[in-house]
Amino acid sequence: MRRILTIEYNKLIGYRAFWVLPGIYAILMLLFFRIFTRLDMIQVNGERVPIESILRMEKVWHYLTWFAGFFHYLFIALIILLIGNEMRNGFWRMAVTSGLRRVDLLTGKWLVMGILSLFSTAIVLLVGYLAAGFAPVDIPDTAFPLQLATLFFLQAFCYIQFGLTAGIWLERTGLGILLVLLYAMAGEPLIGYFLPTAIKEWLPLNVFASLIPNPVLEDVGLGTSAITTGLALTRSAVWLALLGGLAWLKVRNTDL
Amino acid sequence: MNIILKTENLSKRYGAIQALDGLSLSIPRGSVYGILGPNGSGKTTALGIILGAIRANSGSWSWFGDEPGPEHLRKVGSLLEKPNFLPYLTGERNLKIVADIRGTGYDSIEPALVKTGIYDRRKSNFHTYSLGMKQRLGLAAALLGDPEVLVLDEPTNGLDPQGIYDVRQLIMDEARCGRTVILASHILDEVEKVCTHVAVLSKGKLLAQGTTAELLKSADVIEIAADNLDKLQSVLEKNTLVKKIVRNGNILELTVDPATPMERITEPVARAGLSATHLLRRATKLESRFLDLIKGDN
Ligand SMILES: Nc1ncnc2c1ncn2[C@@H]1O[C@H](COP(=O)(O)OP(=O)(O)O)[C@@H](O)[C@H]1O
Ligand SMILES: [Mg+2]
Repeated sequence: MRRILTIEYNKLIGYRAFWVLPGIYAILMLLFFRIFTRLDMIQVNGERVPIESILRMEKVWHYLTWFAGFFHYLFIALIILLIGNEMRNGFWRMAVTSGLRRVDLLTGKWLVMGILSLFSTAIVLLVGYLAAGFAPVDIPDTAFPLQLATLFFLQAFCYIQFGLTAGIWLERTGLGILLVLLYAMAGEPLIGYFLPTAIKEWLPLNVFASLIPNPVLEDVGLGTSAITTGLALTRSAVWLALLGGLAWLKVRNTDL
Repeated sequence: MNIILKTENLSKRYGAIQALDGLSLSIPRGSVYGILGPNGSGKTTALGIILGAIRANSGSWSWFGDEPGPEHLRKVGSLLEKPNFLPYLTGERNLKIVADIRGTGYDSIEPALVKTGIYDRRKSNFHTYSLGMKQRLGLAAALLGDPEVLVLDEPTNGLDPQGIYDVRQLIMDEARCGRTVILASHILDEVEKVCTHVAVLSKGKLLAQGTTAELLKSADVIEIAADNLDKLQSVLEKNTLVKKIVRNGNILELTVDPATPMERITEPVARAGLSATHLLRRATKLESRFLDLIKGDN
């Protein structure tokens, strides 16, 4: 395991996108925090509501993790870039012919995904605590949001796994990123439109998104997302296993 | 255990193309084993399979007498078709990655860089290297940690004459240290100069395999003609010293070993009451033997 980590470290140290994309994410999240701490009123259904009335730390965490969820796409792009670079430059061929097990090509990526997900979660926590410290009002209950942090970590990992599997099967970086974004923004909503709700709720990005339900819907009284956290977890696990298996299927059988 | 690598009936098909067709090879320890064949004859495919990169459709192979596995490949230094490195890393860092995979430790990096002559550029990014330097880095990676076996696929590709000379010298040095070298090449001259053994491939099929001395040694061609060409041919067909007879217009071209005395060919002809109207002996070049081997397949 240490050997694989060292290999990944040596690969990533010189790769600019690996430092730039997470950096962009961190900066954007901190900007979000700046806006947040300047806010004293928010608009709900066209009515202005003073922020104190809804501001509890629990809420702050929920909004933060939900908002940060949009940035998973940066990490998806990053993993597709990493995979594409390695496949296109024959790195996988070199690694395997030098005696790396094929499964370790994936183990390395899973380690990197874990680190990226941890980083992403750490930024959310950092911004949350900064927000609590600098908020215009005192926010009660700043306890560590264990459940949300765990769900966010898992969500990040699942999204990146989606990118990994797409990247491995598509092999091309630019096209891979474009297709994943297209699928996320248009493909899945369109497909969902034609499917009964029961099946629509099983679409992968829908499932991953439901790990952290939309807090805005809750606040304007439109109810929470249709499925419970437990159900979202189970379905995410199913998709994670499926996507992981699909990635392995390709890596195991492909000519490098 | 004196067979380093044994393949049995390796086959690989890409759609309609049979890239490799039932290849069986035995590569003895300590040999410099050439795999000789024109472009597209399946050399890279064969090496890709035994190095675990390409999935064969059928057949089997063994490394060091064992079921092949990644642990064997760590003892094999290889350069498959072209150097495969990450362009945005320095040459040295790319070698660190290979050293980690092969489990050789970073100590082996410097000597390999020195031996292949790119030590001075080790801190430059791979994408800034010239074709020749990339090839040298590929060779340096193969040499990391003194592997028992070197598998080199067209290692002189892209090199200038000095580079080609250096690489051949390097291969011979490594072989002298007792390493087994498997060398794929489409250049007859290279195989002939460097290899102790050779296998000739064409269209994925093995045409011949043996020691270089046996297989590529020059042959003599005797041109002979007589009034009754059919009778002449039937007489010569009975002569075991004649390896091959090709009818070329009203001349027969006989392939014989260079050591064959002329009388052993002409005497039986005379005894049959035939007199030669044309008789000429010439040595053939290796080149044409190689082309013969490949043509025989068409
Ligand atoms: N990935 C591939 N897809 C389709 N055909 C391939 C592929 N790789 C090799 N081939 C074909 O297989 C044959 C053997 O190729 P190769 O092993 O590279 O030959 P060599 O190394 O002797 O030049 C060629 O006809 C080549 O076009
Ligand atoms: Mg080739």
